[in-house]
This record gives sequence, C-alpha cells and structure tokens, in this order.
Amino acid sequence: MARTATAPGAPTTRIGKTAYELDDRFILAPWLRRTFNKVYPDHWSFLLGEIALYSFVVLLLSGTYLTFFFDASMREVVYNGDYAPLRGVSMSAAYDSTLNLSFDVRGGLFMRQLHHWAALLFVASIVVHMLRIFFTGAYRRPRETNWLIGIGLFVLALLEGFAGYSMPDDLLSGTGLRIAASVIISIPVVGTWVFFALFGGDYPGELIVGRLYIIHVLIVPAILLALIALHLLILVKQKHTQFPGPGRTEHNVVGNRLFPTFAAKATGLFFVVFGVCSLLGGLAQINPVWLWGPYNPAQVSSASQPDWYIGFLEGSMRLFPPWEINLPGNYQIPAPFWPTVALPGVMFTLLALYPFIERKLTGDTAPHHLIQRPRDAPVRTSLGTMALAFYLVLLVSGANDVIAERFDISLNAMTWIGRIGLIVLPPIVYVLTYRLCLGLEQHDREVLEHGIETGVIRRLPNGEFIEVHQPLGPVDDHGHGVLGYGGAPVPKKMNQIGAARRAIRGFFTPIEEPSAVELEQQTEGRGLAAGEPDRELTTSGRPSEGGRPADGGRPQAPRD
Amino acid sequence: MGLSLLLVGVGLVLFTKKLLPHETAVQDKHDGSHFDRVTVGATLLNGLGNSGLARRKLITRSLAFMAGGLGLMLIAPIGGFVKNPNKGNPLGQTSWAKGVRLLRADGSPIRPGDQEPGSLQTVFPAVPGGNRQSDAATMLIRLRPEQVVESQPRPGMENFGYGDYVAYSKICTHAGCPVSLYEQETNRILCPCHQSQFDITLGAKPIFGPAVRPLPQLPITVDNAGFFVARGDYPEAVGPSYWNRKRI
Repeated sequence: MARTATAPGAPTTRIGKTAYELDDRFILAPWLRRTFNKVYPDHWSFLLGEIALYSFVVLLLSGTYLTFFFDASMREVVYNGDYAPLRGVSMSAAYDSTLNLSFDVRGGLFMRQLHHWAALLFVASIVVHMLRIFFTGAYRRPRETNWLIGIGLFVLALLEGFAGYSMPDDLLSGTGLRIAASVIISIPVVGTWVFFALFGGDYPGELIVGRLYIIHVLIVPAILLALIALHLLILVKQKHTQFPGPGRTEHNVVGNRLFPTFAAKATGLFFVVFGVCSLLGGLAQINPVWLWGPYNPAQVSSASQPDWYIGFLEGSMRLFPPWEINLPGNYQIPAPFWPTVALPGVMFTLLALYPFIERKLTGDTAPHHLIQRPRDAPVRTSLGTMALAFYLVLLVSGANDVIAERFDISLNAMTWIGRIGLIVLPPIVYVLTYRLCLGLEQHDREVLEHGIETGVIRRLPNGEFIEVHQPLGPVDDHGHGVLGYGGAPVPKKMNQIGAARRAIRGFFTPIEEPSAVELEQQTEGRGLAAGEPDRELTTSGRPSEGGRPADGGRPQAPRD
Repeated sequence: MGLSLLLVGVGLVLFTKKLLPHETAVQDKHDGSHFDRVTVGATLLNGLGNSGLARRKLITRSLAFMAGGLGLMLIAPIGGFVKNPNKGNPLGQTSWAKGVRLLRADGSPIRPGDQEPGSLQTVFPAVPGGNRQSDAATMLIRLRPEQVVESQPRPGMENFGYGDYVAYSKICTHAGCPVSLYEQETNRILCPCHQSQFDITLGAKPIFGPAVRPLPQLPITVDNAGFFVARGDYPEAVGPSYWNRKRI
C-alpha cells in the first residue's frame, strides 16, 4: 500500500508511529473505532451485573493463589503447624493445608478471606442483577437467550460456591456435605447410584474432596467463563436496554461512549469492587475453620449455617413436614427430596421459563429494547415480590435456630411461623405490591394531569382555599395537562423541575453568601425554561418531536 | 491494599463524574435484514446440494455411524464412576456386630455403673477406625428411674436395652447430622441441623421437625468381663432414607 509521509493525520510521535505500524499489520483501527464509539446507557442499576463480573475476576485471581497451597486430599495427617490448640490432632490433608494457609503462609489468610468474601459478593450481585432484569422486563424478546444463560450462571455459581465451601473438610463444611449427601441419596430411583458415583462408595469415602476440588477449580469455572463470555457477547451484539426517556426509542441507545467515559467508570467500579473485597478480606473474619476443628461424623456444632446463598435450601429443609411417601413394592420417596430437590427444581424452572410464560399470557411477542418501570407492569412486579417473599421466608427459616436463641423464642414456634408464613405471606405481598403499583401509576397520571403540588395555598375571593399546582406542560381548556405518560419518571417535586436555587459552593464551609446566590439566580430568570419548545411524549415512549440529547442521557422526565 | 484499591476506584469514578466532559451519544440499533437471512439460507442449501449428500445415502449413513461411535466413546468413560450401591448392602450395614464392645471416643470400654442416670455418652464400635466411621456413632443413654417407667419401646425392640441403658444411633434419620442435644427434662434429643426432635422414652420416635423415622436402636448387653457389647447390628439402615431402603 502506497503511503506518503505527508498524508494528513500521519503520526509524528514515536508511540503514534508504533501504533501505525501495528495497524499496518493487524488492521485494528476499524474495529477499535467501532468499539470505542459504542454507546452504553447510564443508570446505576446497570452496574449490578458489572459487579458480578468484577467479583468473578477477583475470585479467579485469589483462587489461583490459593491453589498453590491447598492440598485436596483426604489422606490422614497429624497437624503440626503453628496453631497450638489443634497440634497433634489427626485430620485430613485438606484441612491441614487450609490451616497452614491460614497460619503459616504469609498473606494466606487474607487471600482465603478475600476469596470467600468475593464469592459471597459474586452470588449476591448475580441475584440483585437478576432482580433488576426481572422487575424492569429486560428479559423480553430478543433477550430470552441471555436470560436463560443468566439462570445457568446463577445455578452454576451456587454449585461452585458450595463445592468451594465444602473443600476445607472442617466440621462445618463436613456437616454441609453430609446434608448434601443425604439430599442426593433421597432422589427417587437413581439416588443411591448417583451417590455412589459421586462419593465412590459409602459416605464419606476418600475421594470426595479431590473431586470437589477439580469441580471447583476446573470444570465449573471453565463453564462459567465460557457462559460469561457468551452472556457479554450477546449483550454487546444486542446492545443494552435503556429506560424510556427523552430521545430514547426502541431503535437507538442513548448514553456514553465506551471511551473514555464508560471505560473510566467501569475501571473505577472494578477497583471499587476489588477494594471493598480486600477491605472485607483483610478486616472482617469469615469462616475461621480453625475454630470448627476437623470433620468428624459424630460431632456437630450448633448454629451450623451454610453460606447465605444455600440458606434458602436449609430453610426449606427445616420447614418441610415429615412426609415420606411409601410406594408399593416397599419403595419410598424420602422427605428431604421435596424441599431440596423438587422445590428448587420447580423454582429455577419457573424462573427460567418466566419470559415464555409471560409472553404466552400477555401475547406480547414484540421485541423490546426500552425497559419498563416496575410500576408499569403491576402483575409482573407483584409476582416478583411474591416469589421474593417466599424466598425470604425460606432464607430466614434457614437461620431459625439462631433467631430463636437470640430473641428467646421457642424453636418449634419459629418452625411453625416459617411454615405458615411460607404459605400466607406471598399472597399478601402480591396484593400489597399490586395496590402499590396501581397507586404509583395513578399518582403519575394525576401529576401529569393537574401538575405538581407547589405547597402554595391561595385563598380565592369567595373564601375557598386551593393549592396552586404547577402544570408540567401545556394545558387544555379545563386547565388539565395534555402530556401523556411515556414510561419515564414523572417529576413530583418543584426541585426536580428546577425550582430550587443551585447548591452553594464550598467543600467544608460555604465560600459564597446564600443571599448572593439567590440574587444571581433571580437575575438569571426563574427555573422554568422559557426557551424550550413544548414537547409531548406519546404513549409509545417515543417523543413526538424527536430526541433531545442535551439532557445528559439520564432517565429524566420531560421538563417543560 | 484494600484502601488503596478502593481509593483508586473512587478516584476514577469521581474523575469521570467531575472532570470528563459530559456527553450524550446516540447510537442506532441495527435490525437483522431479510436479505441476509435469505442469502445465507440459500448458500447453505446450495452447498449441501452441491455436495450431493442428499443423494448419496451410503456416505450419509456411514457418517452418522461414525458420529455415533465417537459419541459412545465420549460417554463410555463415565462407566468408571458407576458403583453398585446394592452390592453387599453397604448402606444398610454398620461395623456393629454381635459381641463388639462399646467404646468411648478415647477408646476405653464402659461398665454399667460408669454413667449417672440421665446422662448421655457417644460410643463407637471396637473396630479399627470405629470412631471415624460416618454411620457407627451411637448414643448410650442411661434413663432416669421415672423415664424407665414412662418408657414405651417400639414393638419388637422391648429387650434391646440393658437395665436402664438404651443405645440409639446418633445419625439423624433426616439428613444424617449427628443428633447431639439431649434435653433430659423433656426426654428429647434435638438435631441441630434441621431441628428434628426425638423422644427417647418412645423409642426415639420423631415428635417434631422434618425427620420421619425413629433413630434406629442398637441391641446391647454386657459381656463376661462386665463391659457393654452390642448384640448385633442395627436392625434397620442408619441415617437418611433412600429409595429402596426397606428392600435390603
């Protein structure tokens, strides 16, 4: 390719020339240009998935470090490390190496705790991210595939967490593993076979920690990594959803370009996540395995709770009544099968299929790139909070012995509260949420029609008192606003439409006089922007007069 | 380290918020094009037609056969994991047998006079590694006199105890945790994992919580040297239920 040194834009600096040479060989510029210019919408709730991604990176980094010191074997050894109370006790090599990691390896305890905290954050951010997707309807066509992948990621994250939690082979994790074993063996027909395949014989055997290890560090992370990559690729390909707002349509994305704004924010968030995990790992103790002691099938510590994300299964196992179903031929379906296999199976299946169920029920098969405010889909929102209430009752019941002890309530009463609450609470939550959504919807319409309450009371000549309302837009002959609802937040306070004066400058102490600011504002003319043309939002969420990109891309309401 | 990372992050966020110029970019979405779809479909069909696979049945079949063989080869290694849980009844048996002594955790045998009435002690079979086995842990309980009076053993197990001593499996019949909280006032044994409660005067019948079956009772007696021994294995499988528990 002929190239002259005098071509416009030719590089002159050393870095520029290097970049030029690189591009000459790999032709990266077109791709980079597209990538840098890719637009990402901006809303705090869109960062939740990013938190999950960054905590996964932290997990990979800290986990790799841990593998250098952890010995995933159940060989019997006698502890001879730095922790005096357990010296001379025989234990598995896995527990021994975990203790050494905590006491003898420099920085090992920090890494262990960092890894554990990051794992808790990982699952938590996945759950909250999923709730955001659910309540805003972001899973609708064309994003059903990504919803399914997300559910897969969630389930795998739970498995991954449980496998990691069980590996140190301490008393607490051994108890958890014992319960998991009884869950597996409770599966009808194939339970004992699966159990023997997994444990290589009767419980506990000598293989399980090694197998959990390879599941935890290789198999599940590899699948997680592949699915995360797919999840993000689909996201980039389909482009992000956005809340309705000025200039936002089903056919565009309004926000910040990847470079520099979005990249800077994302990098900042990564460091915040890393920093928070490090602070927790360095300052807050988690899972002090040396206190539990080595696993012994004949011992248990009271208040044995799993990590939080398994808590709902622990709760369902505690609440489920003792129903063992006897079948003809002396077969039986053991009681733990229902709360720990059937129930989560149904829960996750419903969750995964929800986009398709909703599509069937509403008949809405159109593609959606604008997401909804939860109040605008009351049935979905209520179903979601109902499921959440169900889940929370289970989660709380997973700790019912601790609650019973701390608050001095009878344990049996706690169990019955859980059993009844599980059935009674979700419908109540459904009705409440439904009413709440309708109320919020109505209030939005009311403000659009009558305007914002200004708090100014005026007395009419006939003695009647009325409150002055500030209309949001042009009004018709009866003084009713003609703006329609567009799916975006409606301003409900005068401050939100610019009635307040600007904040006074100064970091610790004000550096300007409030009265001076007041004066300055008055000379500038009062808040309501006179120059802006009237604009009406149609109900489809598309402004009838085109976009107004000057609003910073935030989901603000139309100001008029 | 945590603080420095956090501050780097906060700094970047603040930098973005305060110093970078605020911008609003609008990018249009690209919808799929009908033309592309039709063209790709036609290309695929054309390639398939040119290969002639539709006509040459033999090639197609041998390809399918080879793919099947490959699939089998990939699945076959799973066979290495399979172990028959019904061979020799490993789930239904423990190390307890006729004449096996009951040992404390430190390995010493127990005489009938060693325990106070109302006390509970975890015992293990006198076999190598008995105190580490997952299904052998047993609770030796000496009942108080009034508990002996109230006691209603399960039918067929009236003579499993020895004097005012009874021995029950320590492994919960619900999820296999060791039941270990003995509340003598109410005769109850509580499992700390899922709060199943068993009444020891009713043959360790479950009276609350998710457990369905009573704790299996170990038949005990005293040998010639005056130490507790088992009179045999548990008459039923210890620990959590499974599909064909009652058949083997």
